[in-house]
Amino acid sequence: MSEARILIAEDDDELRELVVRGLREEGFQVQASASATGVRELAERMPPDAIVIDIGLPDADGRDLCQALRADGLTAPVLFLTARDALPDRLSGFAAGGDDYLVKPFSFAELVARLRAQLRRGVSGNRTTAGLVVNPTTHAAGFGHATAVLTPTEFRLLSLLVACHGDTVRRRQLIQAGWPHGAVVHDNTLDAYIARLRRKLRTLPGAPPITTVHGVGYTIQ
Amino acid sequence: MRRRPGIRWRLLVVSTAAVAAALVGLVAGFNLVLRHELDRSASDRATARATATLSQITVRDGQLTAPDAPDAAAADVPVWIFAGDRPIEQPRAGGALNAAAADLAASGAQSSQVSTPPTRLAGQPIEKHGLRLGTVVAAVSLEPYRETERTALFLSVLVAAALLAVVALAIWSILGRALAPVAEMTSAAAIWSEHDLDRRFGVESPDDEIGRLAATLDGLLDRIASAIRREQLFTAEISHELRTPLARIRAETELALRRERNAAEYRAALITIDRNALQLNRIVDTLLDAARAEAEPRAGTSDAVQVARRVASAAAPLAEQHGVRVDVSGVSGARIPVDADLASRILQPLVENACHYGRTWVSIAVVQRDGSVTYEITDDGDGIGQGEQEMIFEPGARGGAAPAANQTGAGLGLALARRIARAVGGEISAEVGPGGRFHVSIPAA
Repeated sequence: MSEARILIAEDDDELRELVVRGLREEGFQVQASASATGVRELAERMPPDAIVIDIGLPDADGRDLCQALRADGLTAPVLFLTARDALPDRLSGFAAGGDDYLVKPFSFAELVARLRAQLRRGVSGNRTTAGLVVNPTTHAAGFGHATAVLTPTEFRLLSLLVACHGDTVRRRQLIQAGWPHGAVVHDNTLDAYIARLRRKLRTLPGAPPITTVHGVGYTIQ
Repeated sequence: MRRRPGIRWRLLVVSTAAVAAALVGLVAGFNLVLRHELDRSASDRATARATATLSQITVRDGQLTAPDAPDAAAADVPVWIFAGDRPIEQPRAGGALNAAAADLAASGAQSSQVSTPPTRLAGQPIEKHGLRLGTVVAAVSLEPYRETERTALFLSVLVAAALLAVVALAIWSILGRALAPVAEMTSAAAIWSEHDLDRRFGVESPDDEIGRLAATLDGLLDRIASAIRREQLFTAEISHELRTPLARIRAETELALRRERNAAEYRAALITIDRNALQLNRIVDTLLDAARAEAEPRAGTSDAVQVARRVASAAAPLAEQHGVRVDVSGVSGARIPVDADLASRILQPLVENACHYGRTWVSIAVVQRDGSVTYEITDDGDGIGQGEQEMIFEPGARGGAAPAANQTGAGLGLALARRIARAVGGEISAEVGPGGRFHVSIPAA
């Protein structure tokens, strides 16, 4: 357990150094980056057992990074660090695929305790990917060599579908992932977004299509 | 204070009063016409009776002879027959009537009226060969007519009152139905503005008063929502700015205390804590200054160019670190209605920003024109991208080029500067590059 690999995405240099130093002292194997791009590269090279993500990263929203990591097939628990403690901010982390959060300033002991708890329950091992790659910095979707540019909302919807590929994603889950907490989203709005996503996916040769599961939601096989 | 009655009440009162006035006129007119008609009818009856009697009178040798038997059918209409002024036949009536009949016969008029008892008298001259020999006078009691009039008045007032009540009820309910949407919208808007700022009435095409009201309320809610969102963004950014150094202090302290450390480690921890405490101090000072500027915008004055020099020298260490030169130009003498501390708070984030992004130089030019003082802060960096002019003033926004480790908080600097500038009646605007270009205008003192 003490050999668990932790990946940290935090743009504040001083705080990142402190967390890295503290977690190493706790016996974790720690790698860190200040940007979403850096974290994705690190995650690809060394699949972590848990990830700590600051929501306010310079090149992407931490929640988008989380969704992209999930779409990459990563199942390791994600713990968000946030300086914003309003309810919608806290909830949005969970909708984006997060497992826990801590509000800054946090107690280091609590961070360690929460990480250990997540690691105990943690599902390790990576899932296979659908072949679709999403980019949280540019909000683009890629398949093979082709890419399509998405809007932030389309990005979030597609990330969730890719992360859950093979399973049906309920309409409600899609709405929670795509729109801020409390937003009034009509069913036909979601359908319109899915229709646009389908059009954009068709521009990627060979990309798996989005299938409608009547009365339930959508799925990517 | 007494509450003014609602619009529904006022409309009800006005419209009911109008209907009531019309009804009063109608009832009065009806009763007047009725009375006139009844009077004429009584008159006609008396005249007819007098004429009938006249036909029964025989004149022989200048002598008038009354009919033998009075007309049984008209027993209730007494008849007098006068030969000249002398009554030759006189019913058993009161003295007042006898006198009135005699007066009518004497005057030769066609009719007259007695008020007690209410009676109508009609006279018909008895003539023979153009000579007036006497007069027949018939009297009709007006009592039954008055009775009819009273009944008619009573009934018409009753009907009018009932009609008024029905009309008032109808108006009340119509007004209620017409104003119900207004009442509903008022309470909905009140609830939404407090609890659910994302709700709107969403009228597609406002084509009546209610629709336009809904559209107006929607616009109002939009403005409240955006003001609150801006405020929330600002508060969120303040909390972010304060929490980041606090998080460092807490993490550093906790780490240092988790186990025994050597003196050098403690020293390093204390230095980090001290640095972050200073940063917190700076942020709190800036926030307090901003709050002061908003509470009490114009306190003191300062020399515009001296403020620029002061900001330039405060930014000197940063400029040196980034290898840029800061120039100040402008003629002394222009004064701004803001004290030097507050004015520096407006300029400093802009100048620090320019030091971060400028390549070799940063310029602060002070220009006085049209009653205002304008600071033009320019640099030779990449400048602001298309569509970023407003975005960079959002709390939490960071310029596209480099995520600068700004000393006073990168996310709040420009947003706070603009906030303070607006509090003192000024404005900050940015121009699209190449080269960073900001204008700060403050009304001259």
